[in-house]
Amino acid sequence: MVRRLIAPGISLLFGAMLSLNCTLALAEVLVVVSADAPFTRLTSSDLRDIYLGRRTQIANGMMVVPLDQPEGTAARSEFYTHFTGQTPAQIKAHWARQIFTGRGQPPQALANSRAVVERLVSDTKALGYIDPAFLDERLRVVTIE
Amino acid sequence: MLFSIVAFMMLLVVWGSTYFLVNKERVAIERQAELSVGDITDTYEARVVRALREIDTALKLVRFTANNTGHANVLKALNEQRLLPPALLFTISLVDAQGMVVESTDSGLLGLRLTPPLQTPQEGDYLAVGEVQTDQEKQLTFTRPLMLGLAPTQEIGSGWVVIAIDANYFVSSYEARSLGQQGLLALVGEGGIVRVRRIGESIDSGELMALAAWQSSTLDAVSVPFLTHWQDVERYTLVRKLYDFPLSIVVGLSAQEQLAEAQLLVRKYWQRAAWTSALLLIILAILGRMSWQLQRERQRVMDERVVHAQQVEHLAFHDTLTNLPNRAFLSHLITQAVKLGDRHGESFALLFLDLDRFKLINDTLGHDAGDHLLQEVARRLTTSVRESDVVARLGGDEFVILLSKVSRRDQIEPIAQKILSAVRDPFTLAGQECPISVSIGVSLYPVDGLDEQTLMKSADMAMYQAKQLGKNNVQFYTDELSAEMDVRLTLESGLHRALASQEFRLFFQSKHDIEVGNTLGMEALLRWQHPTLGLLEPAQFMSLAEENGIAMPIGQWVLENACRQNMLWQQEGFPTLTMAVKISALQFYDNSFVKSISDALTTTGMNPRLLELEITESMLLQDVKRTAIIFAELKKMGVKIVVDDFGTGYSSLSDLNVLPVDTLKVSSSLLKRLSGSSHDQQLSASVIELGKRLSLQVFAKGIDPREPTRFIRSHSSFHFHGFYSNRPLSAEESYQEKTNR
Repeated sequence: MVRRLIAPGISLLFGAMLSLNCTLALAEVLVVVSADAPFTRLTSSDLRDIYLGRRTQIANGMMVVPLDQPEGTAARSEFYTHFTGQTPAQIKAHWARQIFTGRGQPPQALANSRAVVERLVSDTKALGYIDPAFLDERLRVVTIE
Repeated sequence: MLFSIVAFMMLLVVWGSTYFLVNKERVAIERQAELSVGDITDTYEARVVRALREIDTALKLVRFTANNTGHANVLKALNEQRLLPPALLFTISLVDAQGMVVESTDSGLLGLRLTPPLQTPQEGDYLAVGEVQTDQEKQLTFTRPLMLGLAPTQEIGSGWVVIAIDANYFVSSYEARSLGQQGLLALVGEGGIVRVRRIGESIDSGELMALAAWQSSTLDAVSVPFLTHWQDVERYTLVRKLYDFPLSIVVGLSAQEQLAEAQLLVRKYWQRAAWTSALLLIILAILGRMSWQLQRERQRVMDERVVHAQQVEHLAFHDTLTNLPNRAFLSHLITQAVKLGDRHGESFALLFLDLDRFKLINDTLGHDAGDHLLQEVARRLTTSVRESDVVARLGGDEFVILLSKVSRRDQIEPIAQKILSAVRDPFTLAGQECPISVSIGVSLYPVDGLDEQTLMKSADMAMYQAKQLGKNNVQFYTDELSAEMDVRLTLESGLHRALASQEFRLFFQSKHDIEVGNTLGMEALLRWQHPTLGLLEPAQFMSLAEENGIAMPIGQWVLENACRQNMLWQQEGFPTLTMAVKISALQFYDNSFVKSISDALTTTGMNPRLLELEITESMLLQDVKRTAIIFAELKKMGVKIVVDDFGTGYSSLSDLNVLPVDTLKVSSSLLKRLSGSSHDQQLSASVIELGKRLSLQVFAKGIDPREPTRFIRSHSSFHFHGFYSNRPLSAEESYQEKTNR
């Protein structure tokens, strides 16, 4: 319950910060890729489309593989709320429909931020979000425009 | 009428075709709905079956793996190999024989105790479908037993694998676009229990559906949709029993929703029909009105033509000045009257009228006055006769009145008198009173003629007679009149050739001295030797000659021939005689009179002193000044002037005194009176005496030259200078007489 009350507050705060151009500085999650990844910036619509299964490539034709975290984790709800503007229930309903109608599969869910970091390091095509605490030099924060 | 029939037919077509279209549309919509239900069902069936297969495959995979690896970390291993369906929706659990969850993709379930599936058979494999209500959602569970097949003696129910899925998953393909708000997607278990169903946004389960009853109501419930009535909604429905699974799917489309579109369309169609009808009626009304106006216009033109034709006809048959029937119309009317008379024995009369002195009025007062006069006369004539009589104008001043149903003179006479008196009423023309009268000639049908031409001729003749008799009177046609006319016509035609064919003769009377009785001179008298009528005197033809304009040449002929005869006698050696020639007023007042006298004298070479011109008393007094001038010229030539018939007129003695007259001829009537009463004798004697006193020679007229002594004896007291014989002789006879002397 407590988490649910906080989330909109953060969301509001985050929105205000976005408008002040202080991107991601205080975000609860960071969108990251491998330091060797060929891209370092994404548009917010690209990011949303990639995570909702609407596309698998970005503008320059590069394949991107999104990584998810399990349902119910703080990072996941944080991520979807901020970057897609949808609740976990809505995301779930979306994937239910996608799967049922055979149009796609949800991103692979790794157990936690650490697991995500491990995968990102070994896969330059992978894209993930993590708790900022797990950020290290092997990763690069993706600038969301 | 035509337009209402057309309107009715067109409305019939409009509404008929609309009805047809509406019906067709309804059928099409129903058919479309049925097709849609079929399509949606096919797709839904395929998706449900695939989803169920995937679930079953996952169950079987977990069981297989578990049985081959022992029960440790089966799910973890499979998940790492990404062989399990996404944990986001699918919760997979391994349960031991006691119902304890030993491993699960949802770690929160570990250690919980689950109840075994409801319909668990005691042996063999199975797929059980069940439901679980969690705090957040309703889940469908699919369960298969974990058959540890190596030891048949061991408990069969050694555990099971369960996959729990949010029930919504199975109806997530609901699309409002194709299914509407009242459509139905349902997954139904055995016994008609609804596992999950979605109507619009509403998802529910647990209700009962009478699938068996629905399916038995139709022959082919699998592919041919049928109407169901479930939870107060009517739907086109299809039911499919899923192969290999204890489940059926039900797809329904709300009949009301599908037809709503059709209803809208139908309403639109009816509206269009109504608009079209209204438009049609308006157009037809306008056309009808235009047609009506056109017809009225045509009628008007026709009417105008008729009126015009009537006017033309009126003009053709009426005189424009007086608006009376004209000659053509009169001719027609007379012909009609003749026909009627012929058939019914009815008689009628024609009155031919000619205004007296009209030419004079026209010439002196002008044509406008003449026209007014004619109009007034027309009016008076019309009011003088009965309504049934016809007054027509022939032209000029000639009118004809057709009196119907009269047969005797005494019937016509009063009418004619009435007309005469009506016309005689004074007219005021151009500011002055103007006396006018009319001469009327009457002819009667059938007595005076049996056809138009004869009747008109007869009336014309009678009118002429009336003119002759002094105008302003009425004359009836008689056969004598006709004979007279015939003579007149004969004379008229004869006159023109009489001069050329030398039919005129001169006769002579001698002039004698009173004392010795010897011949002093001759007087030339004109006679016409007519080929058929014999010898004619001037009184019988001279007025005709005047009318026909040949009086002057005749006068000239007389003058010349008289002089020539006189010269002949002189050449024969007879004593020189005077030659007297009667001169008419026409000749006397002609401008070339004096010249014609001198011409005659020059041509014949006769001595002017031998020529005596006889002029009547009345003639010389017509214009005394002019007469005086002429006389003076004659005197200059030496020609003598004789006044004929002295004592009959009322000569102005003073005038006579002024004029240089040579001789007076006393008329025989005056001579008669000399032997009458003493009063008469005195008067006559005074007249003769007066002549003598004016120092004129006085001669008596009409004395028999063979008995001159008797005359002299009886009238000796009057001292005549001489006398004229009363026996005209031809030139030859005169010659004989002279020779005998």
